Amino acid sequence: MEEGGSAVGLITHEAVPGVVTTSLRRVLNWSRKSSLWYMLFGIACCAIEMMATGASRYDFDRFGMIFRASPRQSDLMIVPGTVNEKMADRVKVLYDQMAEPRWVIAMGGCAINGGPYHGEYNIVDGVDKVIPVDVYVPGCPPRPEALMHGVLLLQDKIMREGIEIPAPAGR
Amino acid sequence: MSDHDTTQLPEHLQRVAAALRDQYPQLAVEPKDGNWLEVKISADQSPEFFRYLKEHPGLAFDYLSDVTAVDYLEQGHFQVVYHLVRIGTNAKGRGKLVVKIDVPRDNPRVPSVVDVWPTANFLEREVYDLMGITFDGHPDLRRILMREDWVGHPLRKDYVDQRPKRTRVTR
Repeated sequence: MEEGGSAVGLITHEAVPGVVTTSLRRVLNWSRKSSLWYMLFGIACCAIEMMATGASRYDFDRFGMIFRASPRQSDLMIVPGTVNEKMADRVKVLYDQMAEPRWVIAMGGCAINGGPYHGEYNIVDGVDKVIPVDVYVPGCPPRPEALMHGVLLLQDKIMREGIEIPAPAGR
Repeated sequence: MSDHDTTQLPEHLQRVAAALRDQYPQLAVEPKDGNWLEVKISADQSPEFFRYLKEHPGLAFDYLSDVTAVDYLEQGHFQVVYHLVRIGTNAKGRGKLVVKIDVPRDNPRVPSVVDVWPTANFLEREVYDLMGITFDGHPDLRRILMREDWVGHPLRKDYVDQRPKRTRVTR
């Protein structure tokens, strides 16, 4: 049960026992956040950490997150690595090929603002100069725990889409 | 031959120095710490000089490991640097040879060595891309690292970043 409102109700009347009431929006958001298929796509060393997060020790699968090798069937684009000028066009194309609704996590310092390469001649200072970003995960590279925390933040954001829910404390 | 002392060299490098002296008596062969020799030639000696290095049985430098360039802005010239290794010789007698060519900054051209070592194709394209040195006779001289419509050569010391400023994209 969420704070600040009756998000989900339970009817225990004799005639209709065990019926749960909620809004369609919540069901939609809940299903979306629970099946975030992310694109099989890596740019630099952060991709190694993303692969570790997807593998059995950290296990993205328990969030319903499975990598998808096609932008057409992906909901989430994790941008793991340095976006250079040549790559920026390709990242934009991949993002444009994704169907709505779609989300983006900027993983690591490079994808946030260029990181150690900030201001260099061939570097786009942050992937948010090319595509809109939902969650920024700092680190160089971020540990799998950090990436998973970013995913949890994104799930909170998705749950709040279209509904007025105050953001939970601490996240 | 210059007054550099080559008598302290290991035997295999002495043989290299002697073979170079046979054909190019004016050439300054400079021994360096770390078991390698350095020679400076002029642009019009290439690629015949390199062909001699590769095909003379006493030299047999069969592998071009790198082509780079240095921008001596204050002295007004570029220096193209070739790193040569002998793969076909046994490990003890390998030795390395570094060949340097000075070219003026206002007309930076050197002959291509693609005909001698095919691996020079990509290496020379990289030097062309980042330093703007033209390799005459190269079969496919175009940018290899930077994007196709890039303006300027970013490793030049007087390079000015002309990219338009990118702003943050939001949904």
